[in-house]
Amino acid sequence: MVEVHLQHISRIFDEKKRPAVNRVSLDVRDGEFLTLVGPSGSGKSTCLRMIAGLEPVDEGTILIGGKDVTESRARDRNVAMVFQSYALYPNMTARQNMAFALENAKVPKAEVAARVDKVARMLELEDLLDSKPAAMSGGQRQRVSMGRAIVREPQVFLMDEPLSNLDARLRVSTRAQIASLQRELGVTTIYVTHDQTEAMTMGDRVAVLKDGELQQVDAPLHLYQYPGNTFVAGFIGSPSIGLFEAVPVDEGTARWGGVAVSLPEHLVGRAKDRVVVGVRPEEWDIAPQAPWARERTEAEGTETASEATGMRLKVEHIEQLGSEAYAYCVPVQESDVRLRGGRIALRVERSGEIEIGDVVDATPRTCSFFDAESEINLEYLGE
Amino acid sequence: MSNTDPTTPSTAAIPATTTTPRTSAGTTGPARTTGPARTTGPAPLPSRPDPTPSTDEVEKDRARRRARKQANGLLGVKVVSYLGALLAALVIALPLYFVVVTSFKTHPDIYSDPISWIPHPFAPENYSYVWNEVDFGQFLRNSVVITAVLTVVKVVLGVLSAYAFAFLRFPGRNVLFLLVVGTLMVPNEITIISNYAAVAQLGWRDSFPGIIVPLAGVAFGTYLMRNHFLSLPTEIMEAATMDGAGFLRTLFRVVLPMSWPTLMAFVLITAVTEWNQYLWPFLMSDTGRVAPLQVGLTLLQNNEGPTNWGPVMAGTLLASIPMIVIFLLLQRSMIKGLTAGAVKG
Repeated sequence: MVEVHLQHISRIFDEKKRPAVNRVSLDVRDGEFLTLVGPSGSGKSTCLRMIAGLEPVDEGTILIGGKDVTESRARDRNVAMVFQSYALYPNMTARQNMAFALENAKVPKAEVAARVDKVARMLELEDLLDSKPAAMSGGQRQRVSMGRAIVREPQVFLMDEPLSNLDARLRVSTRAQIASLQRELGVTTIYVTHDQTEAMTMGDRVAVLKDGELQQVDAPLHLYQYPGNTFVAGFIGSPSIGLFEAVPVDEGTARWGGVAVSLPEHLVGRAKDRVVVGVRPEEWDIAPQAPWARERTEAEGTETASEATGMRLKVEHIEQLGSEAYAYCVPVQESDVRLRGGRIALRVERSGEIEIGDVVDATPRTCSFFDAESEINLEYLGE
Repeated sequence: MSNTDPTTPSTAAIPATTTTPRTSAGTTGPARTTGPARTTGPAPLPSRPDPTPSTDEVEKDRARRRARKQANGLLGVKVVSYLGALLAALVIALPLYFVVVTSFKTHPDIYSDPISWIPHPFAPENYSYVWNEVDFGQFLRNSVVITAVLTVVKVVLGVLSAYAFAFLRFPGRNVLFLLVVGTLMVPNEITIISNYAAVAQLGWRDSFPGIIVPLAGVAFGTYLMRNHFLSLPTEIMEAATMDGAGFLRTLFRVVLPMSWPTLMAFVLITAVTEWNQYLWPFLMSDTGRVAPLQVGLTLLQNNEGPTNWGPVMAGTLLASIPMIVIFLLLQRSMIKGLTAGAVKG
């Protein structure tokens, strides 16, 4: 049973600035694959390095397997790390790279050889064992660095963006390999990435960090459907969620730009007179306007939409992905409600349905509602 | 004829109206290609029935001209670079040549007017004279001992202190490092008197410790190696930490193998500097018992008076052979290391 508990850990580089990691508390369960995700500078790598013992813990406690390791040296924590640059020793062959930690731990030679061979078979590295890193491709180096971590049979794997140096295609396949390997080995893993797709697809749970503070920890789907605040909502999901600010709520219905959405009953009491409404790109129903209507809109300029006919949007850009497409639109009508980011993404299921310059009426099916001030999801707020 | 396809309708239209259809058929840039095709000599004759060969010829011609131009330009650059190299080589080689030539000259030949460029008569006996008359073997042994010990001590101290300055965090680290680098700015001659007094008090005059210990201080190596260590990727050092490698094991298994070229440069510079030490060993070796070759050579000069340069030059050449050998040996691994680092990526 190896659980990792972070209890209010902080890393303060400069007293005058905000901490790089600010009172983060996190419980990683035994055998769990937890991804730490956040934009650059969010403190996710620092957090990982603190768990590894490469960075001191200024405040708080770290427990690994029930043991307080806050003050322990990295070598005494029995954790293995996979680095972004792989950090293979250039003067050693793959075999020596993998055996190095075991030799340091004075493991008998025969056992070292057996363990290296076993891991090499597992990762299909047999042919590379006697090559040096300089003679390997990026993917191969990545596998060797994984092997170097696995061969130690550590309590915890720590991975710091191990896929970010690979090309897109290799990244996708390696992503799946790492996830299944982790499941096979059952070792508690903490994986840092800035790529939310990686975070969503690999992790049992995803922890989102921003400015050194933990925003939310949840299963990927739950995180996507019920983001804790507007930051998580915007960060998770690609293209990102459309956020309408300061939408007036009247009698349990939020109305803006031709759209009227009723708040779920349990949220009505929690909403103040204005909320932030978030709509995912796939949650829009799109009705392309008839050509005559399009002409009329253009001729009349702004047009007051009748109640709940949908939001009138003009397509500015289309991202074609083959099976689906995303249309990036701007609202046609002037409104008090500001659209964060100025543009909204809509998923179009049949490509060719919409063209750039088209005007569409879009109606949201499902929305998330956030408090206008704290920007916290109403789902998580008390009455 | 595939090269006709990419022509845009607008450019294709121009030749169609201004020239015959024949010329417009195979050209991509009509205005430019049809002109030179007619004016340049040999090409048009065979190409009449079909216009494409003519454009081919034009292309070839143009390529030839371009190549010629390039070659002319390259030739100019080459001539200038060779002249520069020749000048540099002359500045270095001429004195060296005279050292070699003089070592084979007889006494009158050295002072002949005009200068003789080739020894006449050829006098290799200068070498046997040096070897037999002066205690060359003894001086050589002393030089080897002093250089070897100093090189080992300096490299060990340099690497260890650099490693500490680069990777250990301790209070006053930067101030201490500045102090070490600051000693580089102090000329050796200034410390000689105090060093002499100290060594004399210790009773080390005319002994190897007397020569070696005051010379064993290292600042340049610390500076060189520390800066190199700092340029190593920190992630590799961290990987070694995670892999449970201790301080010295990280140094020997990870850091030094990655620093091979710099280390070799350090060894080479140290060896050459110590081999060529003159002033301090000269002051220390009263009897010549522990004097190195460089001091021995001056004894030679004094014995023979300043006039007979033949044996002195022969001695100088003999004295430089070990360093040339060391350079040839180390240079290989230096270059090997450098290229390995460059390709690693």
